[in-house]
Amino acid sequence: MSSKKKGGIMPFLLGIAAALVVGWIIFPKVLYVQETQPVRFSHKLHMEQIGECNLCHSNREERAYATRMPSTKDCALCHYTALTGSSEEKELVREYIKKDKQVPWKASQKQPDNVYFSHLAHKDLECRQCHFDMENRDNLPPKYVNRLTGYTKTTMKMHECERCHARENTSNACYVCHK
Amino acid sequence: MALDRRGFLKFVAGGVIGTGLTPLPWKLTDDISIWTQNWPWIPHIPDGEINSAPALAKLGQPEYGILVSKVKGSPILARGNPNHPLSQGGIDPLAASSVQLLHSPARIRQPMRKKNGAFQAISWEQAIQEIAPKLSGLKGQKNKVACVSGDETSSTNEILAGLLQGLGSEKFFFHPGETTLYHHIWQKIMGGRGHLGFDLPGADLVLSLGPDLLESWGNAVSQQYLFGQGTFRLLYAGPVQNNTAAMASRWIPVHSDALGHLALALAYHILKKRSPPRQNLSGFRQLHRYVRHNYTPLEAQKKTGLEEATIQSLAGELLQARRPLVLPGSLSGSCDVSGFDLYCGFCLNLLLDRLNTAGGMQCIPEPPKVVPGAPSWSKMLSGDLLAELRRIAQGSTEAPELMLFYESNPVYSLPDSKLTRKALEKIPYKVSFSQFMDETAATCDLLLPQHHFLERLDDAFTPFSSAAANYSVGLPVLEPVHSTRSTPDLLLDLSGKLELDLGAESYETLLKEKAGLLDADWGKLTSGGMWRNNTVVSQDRLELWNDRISRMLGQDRERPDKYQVHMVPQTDRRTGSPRTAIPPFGLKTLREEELEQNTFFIRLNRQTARKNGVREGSLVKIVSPEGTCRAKVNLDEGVMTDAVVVPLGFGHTYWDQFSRGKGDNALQLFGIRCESGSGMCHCSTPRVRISKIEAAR
Repeated sequence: MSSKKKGGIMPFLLGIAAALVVGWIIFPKVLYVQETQPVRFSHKLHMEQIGECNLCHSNREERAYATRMPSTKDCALCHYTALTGSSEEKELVREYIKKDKQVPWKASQKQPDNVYFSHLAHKDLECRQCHFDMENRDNLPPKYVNRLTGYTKTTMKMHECERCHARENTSNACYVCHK
Repeated sequence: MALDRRGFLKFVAGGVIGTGLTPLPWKLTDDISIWTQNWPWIPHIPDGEINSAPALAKLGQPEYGILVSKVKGSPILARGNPNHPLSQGGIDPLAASSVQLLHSPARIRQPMRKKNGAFQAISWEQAIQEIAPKLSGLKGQKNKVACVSGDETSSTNEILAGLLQGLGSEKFFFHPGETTLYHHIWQKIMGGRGHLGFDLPGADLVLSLGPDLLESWGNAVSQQYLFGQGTFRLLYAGPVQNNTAAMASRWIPVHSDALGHLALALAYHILKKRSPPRQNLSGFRQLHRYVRHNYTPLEAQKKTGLEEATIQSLAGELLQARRPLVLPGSLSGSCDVSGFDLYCGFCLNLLLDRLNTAGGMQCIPEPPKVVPGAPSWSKMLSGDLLAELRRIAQGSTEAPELMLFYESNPVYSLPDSKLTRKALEKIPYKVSFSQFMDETAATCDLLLPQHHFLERLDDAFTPFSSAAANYSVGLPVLEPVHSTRSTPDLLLDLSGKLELDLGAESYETLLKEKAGLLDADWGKLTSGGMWRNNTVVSQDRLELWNDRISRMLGQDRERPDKYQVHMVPQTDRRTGSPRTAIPPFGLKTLREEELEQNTFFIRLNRQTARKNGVREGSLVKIVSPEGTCRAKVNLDEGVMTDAVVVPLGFGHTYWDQFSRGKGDNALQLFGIRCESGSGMCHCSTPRVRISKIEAAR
């Protein structure tokens, strides 16, 4: 009778364990599709060479439009011909710069269309406050796209915006972000 | 270990509890709620490289170069063009909405003909077959075709006026506004040549007598930039602490009907302390005598309501400044300014020797004419639409058989709407080139929709308030969204069918010819640049005094006793312009003390509220001799006692859901006033009565 009682707890514990595995390991893998960047890119190296984000990410000129991935013209300013022997750089020059074709960068922090985000309004913040430690990364992070929402894994959620607005004593009225 | 039923249930129970300890249920719930927002019919901003194309903002004054950001050919954003001198990187809220307006539900998608009171879609061929015989039948009959244009700077006006001339009509009118009124006083009353500009960049002190120059007068975008650069000190005289007053070094509270008197009161001190101006001014002595007798410090105090010391110190500032500039004009950037006020402001500048000099009033030459049969620009500006409509409504002049409306919405934006409607009803056939289904288009018989300005080639010669002659050209930045046509090209086609030679095969040829006459570089113009020429027109003999001026100065300005509150109309580009209704972007930015559901707010101070028996939030009726509006009260101590600020741009009855039925149209409170002496008809800034309807909150 006592051994039966012990055996009786095991299915319950197994159920919990299985749920934890599904919920923490399998579910995230199923929920997100991983997309790799078309060209290897080192922010770390470029920061060492250039020293500032704005030269390629000229968001502040665009003001109201959040995403400003560097255009091929921006890359061509330095890489019109390959500067190193790297095969990745040679591919960039051959496939994109010489063909004047936009590199299909995968923006991993793109805001949804219903959010009106202005980099100009946030220019006093440090880039790393929202974009993590991107400047010290030697490669681009893969993009994880949520199968259900189409958002990326690192898309900033509304509660995060609200929390920062509240902390900075900025209005949290709907129209501030949703026009 | 065998799994029996009990064991299975335990496993499931463990699974449920375990799931609650993972992000799965919470994340899934959140994602499903987001997923429900992603319907396929909701438009998405495309991903890709962002390119910019220069364009020319043409939604009514002000007009300047902008940049349109595009992704994969689709425009996504309009912003200021730092390389265009009239923009300097700035943009106003209406122009910022221009991409959104491309897809406005109010856009007319193709030509339409009214049949049995309803519009039916037709093809362009059918539309031309409809209008060409009508125009052909009226050809050679004097003044049977008329036209109203609301775009003061486009070369399309030359084509329209040239077409009318060819048909035998001189009835070309600009929609009444500051350009036409300044022109009337400067050329017809004071005998001036050229048209007036104001060199704000060159001035070191600017006294604005009414114009809200940082919001609605002239090119507010460029003026905001100049003000930000600190090139001039700003003084503001007017009845409300608007944006200009708030930014000015001094705000001198004066009621709107005392602004002309203030100019002459200042002239009194200037004449006392300064030698006569160098300019050859006929009637200087008569004006001197008139001011000396009628604007003594005591009289000035009575007429302006200001302390003598205030007027004296203001005059002192003007005399001490090296390059002062006085700006007379409308409070709302429209036609609500009298000839008297303009004349007084111009006189003050002349007495300060501020004509054709750095930082002064500039006499700008006319644009070159490229349509051979078209009248001169001065002649085009001479038409007085308000007087004409009044004559048609009263039956003292014959109504034209056909009227064309280009970039103009008189049914909504003219004063005395009853009279306007009555006059327009007498015109048997009306044609609108409007891009949007506005109030005037709805009364027309044929709609020939023009392209949106981002879809068309167009130009702008010296927009109102420019310091010097300038010329800009805007190329289309995208293919037309709907089946619309370029109006000037359509008119050139029509003129061919009517066997009229307007001297150009296409609008592009015509604009290139104009650029050639100006010696402007077409490549530079079309890549977002601007041609500018500082040449001014010298004046032989300006008249400070003549019979008409003496009658204008002598007329009685008293109003009926029962209307005691001065109405102050206020323009805000978030609520559109006389020819464009509230854009969706603009509507979102209106605060709850500006528009609550479908009722707008008026602003008055506590004392005025008490006098009229109303309080914060009261629902009130504003009554003028011409009409009535409904509003709620917002108390604001930045408004003078016995004045009420009434916002313009509300109360559309057509357009789209973003503007239709939002508030009342305050323009229906305005009347038409034809001034004795100047002979100029303008919108009279009314005095109104405010009465409480009920306590709203």
